[in-house]
Amino acid sequence: MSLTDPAFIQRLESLALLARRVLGGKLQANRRTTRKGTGVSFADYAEYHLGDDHRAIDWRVYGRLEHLVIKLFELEEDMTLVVLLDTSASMRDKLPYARQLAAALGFLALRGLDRVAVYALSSGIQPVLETAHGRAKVMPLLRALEGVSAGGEASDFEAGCRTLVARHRRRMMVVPISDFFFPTGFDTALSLLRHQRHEVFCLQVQSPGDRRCTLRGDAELACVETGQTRRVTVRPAEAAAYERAVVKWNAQLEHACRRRGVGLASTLTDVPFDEVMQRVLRRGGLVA
Amino acid sequence: MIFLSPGFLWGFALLAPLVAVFLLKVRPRRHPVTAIFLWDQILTQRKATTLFQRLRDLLSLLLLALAAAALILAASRPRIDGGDTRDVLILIDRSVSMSADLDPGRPGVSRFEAAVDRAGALVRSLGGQRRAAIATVDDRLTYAVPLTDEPRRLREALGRLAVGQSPSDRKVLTGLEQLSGLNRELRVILLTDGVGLAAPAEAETFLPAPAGADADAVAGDDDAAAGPVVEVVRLGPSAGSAVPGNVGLAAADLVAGGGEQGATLLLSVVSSFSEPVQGEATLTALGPPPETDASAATGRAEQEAPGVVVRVIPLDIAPGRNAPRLYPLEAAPGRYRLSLTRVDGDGDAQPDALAADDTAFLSLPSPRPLRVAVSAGDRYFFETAVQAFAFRSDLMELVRRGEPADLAIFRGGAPSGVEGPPLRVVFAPDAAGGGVTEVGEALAAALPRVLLPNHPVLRFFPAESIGFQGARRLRAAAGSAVLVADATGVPLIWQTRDPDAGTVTLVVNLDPAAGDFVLSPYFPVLVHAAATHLGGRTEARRATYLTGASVPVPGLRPGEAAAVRFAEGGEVTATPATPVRLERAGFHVAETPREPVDLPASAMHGDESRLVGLPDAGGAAVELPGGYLPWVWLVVVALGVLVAEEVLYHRRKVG
Repeated sequence: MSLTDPAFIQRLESLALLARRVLGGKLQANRRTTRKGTGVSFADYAEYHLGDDHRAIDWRVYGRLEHLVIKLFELEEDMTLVVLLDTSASMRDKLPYARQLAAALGFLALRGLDRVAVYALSSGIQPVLETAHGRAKVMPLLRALEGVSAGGEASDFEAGCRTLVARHRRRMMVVPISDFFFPTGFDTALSLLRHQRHEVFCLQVQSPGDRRCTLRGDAELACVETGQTRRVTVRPAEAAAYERAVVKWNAQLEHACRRRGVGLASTLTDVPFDEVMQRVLRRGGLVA
Repeated sequence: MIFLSPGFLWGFALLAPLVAVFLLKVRPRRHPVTAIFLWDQILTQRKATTLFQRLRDLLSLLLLALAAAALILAASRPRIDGGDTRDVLILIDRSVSMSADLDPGRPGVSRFEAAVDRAGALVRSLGGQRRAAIATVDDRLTYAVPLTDEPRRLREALGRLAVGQSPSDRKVLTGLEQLSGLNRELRVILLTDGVGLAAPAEAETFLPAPAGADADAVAGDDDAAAGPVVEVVRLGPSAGSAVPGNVGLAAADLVAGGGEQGATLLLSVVSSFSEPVQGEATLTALGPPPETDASAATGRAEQEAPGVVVRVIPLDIAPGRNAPRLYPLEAAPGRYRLSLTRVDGDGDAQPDALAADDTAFLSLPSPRPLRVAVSAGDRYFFETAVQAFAFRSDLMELVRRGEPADLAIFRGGAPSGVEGPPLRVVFAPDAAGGGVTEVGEALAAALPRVLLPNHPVLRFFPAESIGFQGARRLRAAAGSAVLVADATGVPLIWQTRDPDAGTVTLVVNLDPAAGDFVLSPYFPVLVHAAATHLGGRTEARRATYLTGASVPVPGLRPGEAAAVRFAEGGEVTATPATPVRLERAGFHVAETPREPVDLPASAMHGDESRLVGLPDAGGAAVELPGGYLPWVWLVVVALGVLVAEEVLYHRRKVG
């Protein structure tokens, strides 16, 4: 299904309605920041603690009450959603699904008056959609995603993240959409993003064939990204070992995300994308 | 090692493309993966099996090459027997002793069955690469299948073989040796127990062989020692080992008369036991002979008639052949079965090694005498000559004029055509007819010459010393058999058969009254010889015949034929010139034109019953080739290797 297909857009609209109902009409750009005291609209007073900004002390109150309080202000900030769409060769069969997820996320963000940027992740990052804002950018977003194809070089998650944080100094929400089969791992990249105080939510997309090994007998395994080959004889023991290795790899990803406060949603390509998005919205891990 | 089809060795050139095909075949299919680093982890853990996996492909290739090489070698039909390309004649002894148990301690497999099995193994070892023939040997040689290289025909012939009840005859072996000596490209292998292949200890004296049977068939022949050209494979106990225990009938006869009892049984038994044993001979009546009961003429009356035990004779049986003894009986003409059983001290029956010699089938005949009429002016001497031989009621009977007769004696000429009895003896013919076509003047002096010296009529009649007084210059009818003729060619005694009238006439060209020939002792001899010959009474009826004997049908007259139905089934036609061979024991029946005649046969061969395989039976013991040919094993190896390779292939394909 094309991303610009009206039926697909209709499904995106349904997701937006669901998001409004779930989030009480407060999409991201409408919500007020939790970092009170740095905005322009007065919000409240708070007791002064050591280390607070002296400039926020309300000396008038101190004059009347002889008690140090600071003024808190609300900031109506617009978040930047950066989608890192894995376009390596290993995503060839999963890319259409990943594009649908990226489209849904971007659609919700643009409808919430947030900024959206999309990058294709392979050996580095290539901009698919430069930072965009406003609902008018929905169709350019979808068309840009339509033009994304897999088959790039081997994905380097860490290099891509380094490039990303170098480009975007502002705090943002980074959503990598990938199968997370990065030979070099994902720990360093996640740590880098979190170290830059970016919010990170990982969307792991895998195909059933990634988790289950139906191969038997002699085979020459060829890596779709590097072209490396291995001659193996796959007996049931080897197949089970491979499936255990995949489970372990995914568990390591889950553990790394939990340790760094990174959201994670794993899905298979045979699950409808809007079902995944509903689950994410209801859980609130990404949007709320 | 030689190869019968070396052209197939070029098949080794196929190994090169085989290797190429294998290398293409074993190349694994390419399978793209997204996380090869995960596979690397697994392969690192299982590195120990990598070497085997690498070798497995090589091993698989070697196995395939080995299987192909084995198949190519099999197709080239290798032989490792030193290049013996001679044809093989497989002789299987089917004499009665071969029906004995192969191993006395383990009844169930007979020597004959073991011989057939060994022959089957030999045929299998030939594998169609050499020609072979199969024949059976007892007192004669019978080919089951001629020389052929088709194993299937040989196996089928082996399947059809059955043990017989005839004795072995060493002369057959001698003839085979001569055959093998003439044909050096023929290897003769005899499978036998050796019984009866050497000179017997004593000759059969109580039951002379019938006419047509070779009386010397079972006699020894010292100059017939087996040579090395016939390879003998012994079955059963070897010489020097214990002989299986057996008692059997060596001779039995049943004759009418013998005093007031009505019949006399002659009985002789033989034992292979080294110590005296006890036995019982039981004579059981089986019913009337077929001459008196047409319903019994089926040849199996002994199975249908109720058995009545006539007499049970206890016997103390000494080792070896026992002297014959006579037992008077009250027995009417009919069929009888004589059964011999070894018993222990309690009178319980005990088995022995050979069952075929325990039963004799006897017939006490009551044949109708030959009715003879005399048609002559001077009847006295003729009637006296007939009555001289009427002392036995079953030989001749003089009938009065006008009564039905089988044979008529004429003096001066016989009636032409069908008038009168069909058998005629004509003395001094004086007119044409009845075997005479032309009558001339009397001969002044006849110089007789015997033309058929072995004719039964002349057996006891010295024709050349008879004057033939009163003879005329006659001409015999066309087709006559002239027994005696004058030096000038005038027939003196001849036999004429008129197929249109159905008569057989013996013409004697002399006048008995002239020269007082009627007073000569040879006159009744001539009358008797002519009557018994024409009446088919040349040979006396026997109570039983030995199996394997060729028997002329009693009462069968010249020109007649009889259908002989065997007790075991089957039917042949016998004539006076072609006696019938009685293969198996039982009551066989010959349907003559006048009456059915019993031909009982019994397997009473004393030397066979002793079951002694004499050490000089012939030849040195040989190792019989057996087993499967090399190409069979090569095919088996190839199949096994292919199965092993298939296992490896399967593991490669499905893990």
